[in-house]
Amino acid sequence: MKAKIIPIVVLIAMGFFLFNSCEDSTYRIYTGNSPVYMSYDNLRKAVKVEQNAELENPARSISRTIIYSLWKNLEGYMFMITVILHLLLERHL
Amino acid sequence: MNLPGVVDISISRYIMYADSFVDLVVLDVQDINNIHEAGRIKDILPYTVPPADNDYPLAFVDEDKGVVIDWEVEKIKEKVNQDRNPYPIFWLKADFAAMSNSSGNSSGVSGGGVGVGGSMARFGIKGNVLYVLDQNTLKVFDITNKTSPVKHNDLYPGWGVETMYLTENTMFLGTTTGMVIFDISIPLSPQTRKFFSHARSCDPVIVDDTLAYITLRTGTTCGGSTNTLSVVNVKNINSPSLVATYSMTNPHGLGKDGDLLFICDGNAGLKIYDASDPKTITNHLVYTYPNINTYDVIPLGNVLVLIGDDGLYQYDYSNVLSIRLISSILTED
Repeated sequence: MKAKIIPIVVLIAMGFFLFNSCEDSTYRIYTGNSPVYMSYDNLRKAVKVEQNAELENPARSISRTIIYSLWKNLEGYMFMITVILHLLLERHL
Repeated sequence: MNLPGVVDISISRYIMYADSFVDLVVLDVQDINNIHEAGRIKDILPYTVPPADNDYPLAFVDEDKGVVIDWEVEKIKEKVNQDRNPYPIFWLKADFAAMSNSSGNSSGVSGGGVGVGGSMARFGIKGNVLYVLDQNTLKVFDITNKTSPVKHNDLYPGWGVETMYLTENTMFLGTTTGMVIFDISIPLSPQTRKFFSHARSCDPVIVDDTLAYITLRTGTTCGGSTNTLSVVNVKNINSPSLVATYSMTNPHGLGKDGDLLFICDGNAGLKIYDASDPKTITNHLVYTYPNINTYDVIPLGNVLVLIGDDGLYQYDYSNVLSIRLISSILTED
């Protein structure tokens, strides 16, 4: 019995190797743009604040900002003062 | 700040929305010294690759490996039966010029309460809704919870959508073949109103009250052979009509403040026109700054924000005949 099984197993194995060919692959070699990857993990870890960038001529822009904000604040106060003065004058005249 | 792959941003109060390759990132910018990521929607934006050396073919891109941050020209051994890149979308470097906020306090072109954006913006905010453009899709996000945007739906306004401009109740999309007009009076449900076609080209667009200003230019991935400024009457968004077309050198972004029209005209520099009469704009050139070569401009009060390849510039234009550089932030590369 054992003697009959061995040739059958050998035949099946031979058939497997003979009739099961490798997948044909063709490669080509060329000069091209090869992608440089960043993994998704690194992409999602990469958000961070780096050193501050230098602003050219910052004094002027800061002073402009301060003057603008002061002016905007003053506008509000001036309106309030005008209203109060108006009410006071109305009461006294 | 290091944020890989960012092309566009938009700000609603202290929350900034930005793209980072395939992700939409939410940044808390309330404390300028402690800007941090407050949220992120992963894989919501299309896979894009950076521009490559056009003299060489692109190798196979394996999206599972991550995002492509650069290309190296080298010898490549590649399986022939591998799928090629069927659908590469390139960053348009010129299109990152989107600066917007929701303060609505500018004297430049903007609708009340609508973010002030550059003419080449691809992000826009209207109330609690964030709009994001990517080539052929308009993505609509509900940002009622500022740090957790919820994607509401996708709209398909057509192929080659490049720029977005929002007014109070209307959205103007510049596409490579025309301008699409949406009614956004219900912000979460934009309704298509009209398509105004033009020659195939890239077309930043701004809208001032009843007039839309569109620049068309050559030399881009959009194709086309036209370098013009077109003025379109959009008083009735259901029937826009062409008012005038002017020849330009290579117009990119544009901005408007009152009667002043600013155009980044390629190598011809920054041009300032008196546009009080839309039918004779080029007859009223106020001044040209040939040395200012930028691709988008935002007039904010008396401060002109210009964005170029090498950084961001602010100019004082209280005297348009002699605009002054206030400051600049130069990019590292």
